[in-house]
Amino acid sequence: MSEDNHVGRADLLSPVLGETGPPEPLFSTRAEFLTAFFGGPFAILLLSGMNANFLGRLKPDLWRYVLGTAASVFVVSFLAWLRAADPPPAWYIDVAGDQARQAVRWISRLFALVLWFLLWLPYRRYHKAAEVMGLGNRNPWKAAIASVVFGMFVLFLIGLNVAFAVQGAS
Amino acid sequence: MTDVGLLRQQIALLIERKRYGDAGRLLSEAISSEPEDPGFKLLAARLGIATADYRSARDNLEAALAQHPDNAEARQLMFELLCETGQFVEAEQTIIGLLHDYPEEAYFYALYAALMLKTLHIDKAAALAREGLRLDPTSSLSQVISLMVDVIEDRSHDASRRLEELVRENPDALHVAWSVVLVLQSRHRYAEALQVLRGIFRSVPDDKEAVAALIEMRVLSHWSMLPLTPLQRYGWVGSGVLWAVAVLSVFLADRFAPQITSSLVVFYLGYVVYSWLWPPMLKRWLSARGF
Amino acid sequence: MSETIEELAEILLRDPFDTQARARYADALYEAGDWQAGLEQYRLLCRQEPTAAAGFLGAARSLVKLEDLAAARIEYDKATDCGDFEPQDDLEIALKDGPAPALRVVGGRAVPRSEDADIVRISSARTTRFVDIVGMEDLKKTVRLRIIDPFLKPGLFAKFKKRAGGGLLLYGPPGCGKTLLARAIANECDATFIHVGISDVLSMWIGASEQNLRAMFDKARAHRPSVLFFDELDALAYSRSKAQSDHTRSTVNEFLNQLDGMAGENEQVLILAATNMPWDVDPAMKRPGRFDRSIFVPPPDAAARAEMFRAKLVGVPTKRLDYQKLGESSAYASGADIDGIIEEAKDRVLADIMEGGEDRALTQDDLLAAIRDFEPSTMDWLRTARNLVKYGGADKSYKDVEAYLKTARL
Repeated sequence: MSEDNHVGRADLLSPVLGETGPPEPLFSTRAEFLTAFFGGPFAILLLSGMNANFLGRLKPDLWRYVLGTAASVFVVSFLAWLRAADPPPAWYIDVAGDQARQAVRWISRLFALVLWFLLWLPYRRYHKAAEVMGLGNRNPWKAAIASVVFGMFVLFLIGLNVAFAVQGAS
Repeated sequence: MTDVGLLRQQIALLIERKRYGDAGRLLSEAISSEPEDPGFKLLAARLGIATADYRSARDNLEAALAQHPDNAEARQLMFELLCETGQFVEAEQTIIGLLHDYPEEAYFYALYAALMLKTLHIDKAAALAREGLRLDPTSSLSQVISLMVDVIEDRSHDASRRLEELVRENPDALHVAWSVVLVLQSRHRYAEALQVLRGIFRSVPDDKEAVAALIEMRVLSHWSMLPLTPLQRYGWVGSGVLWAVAVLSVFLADRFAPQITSSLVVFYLGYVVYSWLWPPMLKRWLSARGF
Repeated sequence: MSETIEELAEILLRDPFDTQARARYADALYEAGDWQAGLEQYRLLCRQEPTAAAGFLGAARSLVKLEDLAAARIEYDKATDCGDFEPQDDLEIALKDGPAPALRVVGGRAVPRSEDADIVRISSARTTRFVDIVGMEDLKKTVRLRIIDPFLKPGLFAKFKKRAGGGLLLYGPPGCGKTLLARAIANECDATFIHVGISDVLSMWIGASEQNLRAMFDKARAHRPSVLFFDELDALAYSRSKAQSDHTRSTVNEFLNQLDGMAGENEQVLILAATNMPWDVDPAMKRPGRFDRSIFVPPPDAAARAEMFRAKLVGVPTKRLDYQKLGESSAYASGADIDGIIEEAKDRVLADIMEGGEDRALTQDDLLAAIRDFEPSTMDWLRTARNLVKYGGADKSYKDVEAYLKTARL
């Protein structure tokens, strides 16, 4: 279902549905938000990627997901290091105070929501179009739960690696 | 007009008035006396589409197209049938074929634009609707599609201008009223949208979509939804921002005014619970009780 | 000169356009009792000479013989449009008490009709009065007070600045007696009843609908006091906001003109209309001076249903039936539904007998079982009406329905 933003008059009568097959309903914005909130950045990368695929935009937008994955690995590793470091860095204690451990969780979640927003924004028009046209949404439960489990597992793996690395270093 | 022509007109008007039983009886009489008449086959197809009897519609259309493969009405009906049955790829081929044969027909561009919007090809839908309007500036379907694109793209000024044109040209048409609702809703003017929706509903009380839209709009415009305005207006982005603000304020309160932290947490949790539980409860209550 | 059928056939073989020979050939076939062949010849004659009444009259006579009175009436009506038409007593008598034309293929103009075609005088043997209508007591009382008395005593009501005539819309679920009530109103008003049914509406859609409609109103004015009854108003005055065709707009505009004209020009003309779908009627029709009064005709109540069971089971072998119980058990059923219930119960009895049981009469249990398996046809309508009342807002057009739904606990 990929399309360029500007359709010239010459392209008006070129078929587009034959290339990508008939359209498929999307996971709703709500499903994406909650997946990001509970599952973290990797969960939303997965679910949003599925939506991009349904829209036929995964290939042209792959760079977003590669960039998002790289940023997620970096941020999650950094946060895992903050949590694993004993004692945490002084600048962090200065900022977070008594909430140092909890703040890591909040920042992680905030990052996941920001990532969701950045991934969702280019597709917002499609979600709105689906709403305006009354197209309905795909049932998100299975995919969202799978994404959350996947996201948590990746977080756990990164956390474990970082913890071993911190332990090894000390 | 010949007797057959008059009869076709009668049947078409019966279908327009949703008198499908009467139309069906007349059609079966007509087809039994004129079995080869393609006009009756097209009417039977139209009736089949209107009554969701898609098999009969397809049979009649195929028979009509076998006799007259170039018949524009039959091809247009085939397009409508394919859209109704979700065969969008075939529908696109059909409408493109029609446009190749009738490149100046604005209505066909509008139909293609509607298909593109339904399949989320927004830019192409916009371009097709533009072409439709270039060929016929009064084409109401092209105008409605353009208006929908404007709403989707958040171009509220353009949407309002287009709506004015629609209302000026066809003030009492049902599709114009739906367009008004769409624009009002996109501007978060729920109370006004509710009034227009009520007018629509009174003329189509048997339309389940109208009932659902009306209840939804009543929920949105209810006074008890006022505290949820930020969420209504900004959707899930608003929810995310509210969460971030809440976390930050609790964090700051904990550091600089710990005595208000627990009140802040309770308030925030209460708001979250309210935003989750109240709208569905209100919807159920209003559906059961009426308004 | 009297020719045989064979000779006439030969003449026509040589010259198929000899209309006089065709007329004689058709007459000969008719006289010989071959009405079907005669009918075909008369119809050919109609095509060859569409402005002459003879062909249509011959077709009408053939159809009377073939017992298709509705079609015969249409042919006779077509004859009335011809310049050389003269009323035919035999056909007038034969068609007077025939059934109203059923829905059928209509070609050509059917309206305006002959002066008295389709008009049922109060003295006719087919009169229906309020006493003939089972149940609906409150409704009859309301109609008498709001419609019939002002019509019969215009002087008294004029004193209080209440006008007689005008428009009244009867609405409600299908099969609940709206048409019967309209007929009874006309008879109670001691007025000429002009019935415009769906087949007339179909005819009106052909050609100059506006002229046809105007002719209908003119006929009502000419026969004062009269009741002009539009059955299935939604078909004729379909909401312009939903219609795609220009035809609908022009017909509704003319209808509105005629209704507006009625107020000034015509006293003692009551315009009744009935519809199952009042929401499909153009809203402008319901504005003051037009169909500004509307009456909800609900499904029959329990007593009326009991009475219907009693009436419809006359002559059927039955055993110890409790009609009151049957009426109570068949909530929301229309007259047509009760027919369906009885037929279903009869099928059960016949199935029992065919399966080797003894001959037996229809019992209470058969009827109750049929009622249990039956979904009243009024339910869809009542559900829609409930939605209207619940979500329709401050519009009080449906307050009668609201009251009914409350009492019926729907």
